[in-house]
Amino acid sequence: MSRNEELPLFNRIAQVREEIGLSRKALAESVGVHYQTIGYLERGEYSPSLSLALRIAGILGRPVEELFSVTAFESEQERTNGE
Amino acid sequence: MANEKKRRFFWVEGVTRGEVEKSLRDTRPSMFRQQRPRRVLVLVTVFALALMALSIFIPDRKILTYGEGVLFILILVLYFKLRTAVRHVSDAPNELLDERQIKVRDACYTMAYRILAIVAVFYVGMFVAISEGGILTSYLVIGKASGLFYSFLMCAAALPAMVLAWTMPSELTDDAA
Repeated sequence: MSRNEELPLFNRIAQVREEIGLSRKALAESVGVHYQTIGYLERGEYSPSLSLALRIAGILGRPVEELFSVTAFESEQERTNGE
Repeated sequence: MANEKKRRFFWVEGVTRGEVEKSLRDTRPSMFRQQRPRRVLVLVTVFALALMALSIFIPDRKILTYGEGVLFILILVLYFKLRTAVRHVSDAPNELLDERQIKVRDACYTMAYRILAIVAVFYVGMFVAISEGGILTSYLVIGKASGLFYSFLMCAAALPAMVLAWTMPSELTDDAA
């Protein structure tokens, strides 16, 4: 494995954000990033810094480990297995 | 410092706080939010820069001067259009960007620097080709090779935005972002 190879980081930002009825733009403004960055995060195309992950967890009111994981979340695993 | 006065102009980066913030907030539809039109813009800029560099082979001084003038204005317009197309991310200072944008900007600068090094080799080759025995004279620089000089200058200025415009994927709409 290359020293710089980035492991995928799974997240449930979109799911939790929708549960509490927060728009992407509102979340982006709350954590101080561009709204496109929230889109990149939700699609797993960008891995946030620890600071940003903690800020997002704070706004969404969940522990950071509930939002981010290096292994797929159960719902994603079920979906993957179903395909 | 909380009460520190916010800078309005960033002289080194060549942008104002207002234009960057406006550009980043802009949610109006634009063809340059899509990758393909942005790539076309990059190709047109490359073509214009190459024409400007090749203008050194125009023997007629009058045609050369007018040609360079027209091309320089065209390249300037394309340069400012490129900056807008990438929402000024390529030129903005850290304090106006988020962490992903800073990462993207830094990556495109690295790539731009490498490309510029290759471009410089070609330009030096062209300069040697038109000079007499590689001797640098003020007549050569001001008179014959000014197109090369302007082309390299604009290439250095525009390359980060060109790299970013080429590599940045299409933006999603606000709803889907």
